[in-house]
Amino acid sequence: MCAPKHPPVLALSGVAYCLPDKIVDAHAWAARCGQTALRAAALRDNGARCFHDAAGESPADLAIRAVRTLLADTRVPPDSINALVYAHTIQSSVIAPPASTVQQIQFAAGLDAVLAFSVAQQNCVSPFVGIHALRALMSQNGSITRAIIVCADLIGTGCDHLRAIQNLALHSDGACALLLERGGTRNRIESLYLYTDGRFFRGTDDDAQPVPDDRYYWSAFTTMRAALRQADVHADQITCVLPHHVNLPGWRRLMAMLSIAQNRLFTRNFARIGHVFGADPFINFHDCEDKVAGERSLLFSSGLAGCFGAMVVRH
Amino acid sequence: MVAVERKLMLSDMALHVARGLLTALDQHVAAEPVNQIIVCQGSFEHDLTSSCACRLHCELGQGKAPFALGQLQGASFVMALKVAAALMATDAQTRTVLIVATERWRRPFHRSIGALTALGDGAAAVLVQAGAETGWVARALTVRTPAAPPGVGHPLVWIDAATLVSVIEETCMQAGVSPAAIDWVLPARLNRRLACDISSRCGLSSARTVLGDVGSTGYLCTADTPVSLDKLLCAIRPRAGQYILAWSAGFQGQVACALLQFHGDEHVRT
Repeated sequence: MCAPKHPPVLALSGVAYCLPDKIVDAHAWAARCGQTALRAAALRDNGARCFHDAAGESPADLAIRAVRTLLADTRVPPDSINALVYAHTIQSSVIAPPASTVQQIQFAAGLDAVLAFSVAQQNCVSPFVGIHALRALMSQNGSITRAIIVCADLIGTGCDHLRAIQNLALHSDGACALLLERGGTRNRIESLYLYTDGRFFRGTDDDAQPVPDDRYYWSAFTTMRAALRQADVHADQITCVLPHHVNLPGWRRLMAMLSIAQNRLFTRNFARIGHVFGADPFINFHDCEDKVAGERSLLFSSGLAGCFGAMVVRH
Repeated sequence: MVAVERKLMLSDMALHVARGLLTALDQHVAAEPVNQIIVCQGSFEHDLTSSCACRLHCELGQGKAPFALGQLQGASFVMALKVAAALMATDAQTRTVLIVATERWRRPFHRSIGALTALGDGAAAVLVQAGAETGWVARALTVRTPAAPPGVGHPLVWIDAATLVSVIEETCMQAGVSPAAIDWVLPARLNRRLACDISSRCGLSSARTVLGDVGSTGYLCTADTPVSLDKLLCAIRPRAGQYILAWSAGFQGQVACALLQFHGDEHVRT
């Protein structure tokens, strides 16, 4: 039997994101969906003030913009990209066969020579799964040196009333593209840990509301703790926690559980942009200015269906 | 005519075939627990927030964080095999991967793909094990996803026959096997004429090309290759060293090829 190969060292070399221009305030959303002003106030109290509304744009449109911005910002030629993974939360974020959303993104972004596929069903943790799968593929195939993962999702117009996650978050439409490079020296991915609590595979109840998870804090905490252990770092070595934009008060509790100082939680984007599905931690990675070379960030996301993911990046 | 599943939901179908496979294997060998579940599907679960992969993970009670691979249509299954092989090669804890491909086409999907084919409902499950001494060993797996068809224009449906031929040749070359030496060829059951044409262009034996009866089920998309494989394995008694070559194609140029070789002397029928 062959000993397993070590996965290659991967660097998160670039991030670009795209949010629709239209911004909707929590109160305006409540009014247009027949929700109470009290609910809007509760959302605002929990850090969910507004969201970006795609207003007719498709997930593929948003993804293409994010990938093009990533290529322009990083000045990486499209023909040097070897793989493209589209990671999505919502089942219907893909178009029906014979068309393929991945193919549409690939063609529009000029990524002619890539191996392109999608990952899904880990909901807002799907981008982490994309990294996990790519890292394994790169270990098997030395010719894959650069890859892009793009996530793009939106709440369809018919489902606008389902934007809120209890009173803890408002889904925001948007896309985020990540550039992964083999062997980079900055922003190395030191660990990646995934956990799924199978009890929640349905995602929502009969009223299309998320099923309350009685073990949410424990699952979130142990997932992050496992990522720290895998990276062989202590909590006090984490200088930035880059969260998903759900349940800001709950994040205070998680920071205490992790024994990481509260001021290391990056909170700027909770109120500013809302919960952009799987993109949140990566948008925060892009926007956080406290990434000092040699120091580390902890990225986290969780999603419907009991999905949790965390990774440690050394800057 | 296409197969239409009226009662079971997409994840019910996936669970049904997965349980059937694991139960059948339990009767033959001391089964190792499943470490990873990968789902392939092109159609939707009726319940849009439900995760088929997470349901299998929950109900089978096995495996690490499950996920789905897709958007390559018929080529998704070989892509899942590639990812499974890569995960097993990089993680000593991942020894057994369950791949479940499942399709149930409901609105907004159309069942007809132009004049090329019609989509049917179906599911199949495959168990992949690292280091198994007997069974079908994946000798080479190739997937390619061109961005655009050759020539001018960008039709909605295009099967890239030239890339398909080169992927089949490359797969055989990687394994050091002549196409003429392949014992069974499993083409995508998209279209009989295409299957015959590809066999002819690649030097694959037309007599060993298993055309199957697409007319009875329709094209099963992500489940096409594993369903064809299951039917073939039920019908043959392979000898050590014999080869199966399976190729598949998406509707927009995606192509995939898997070359399997039989090892050992016991063929477990599931």
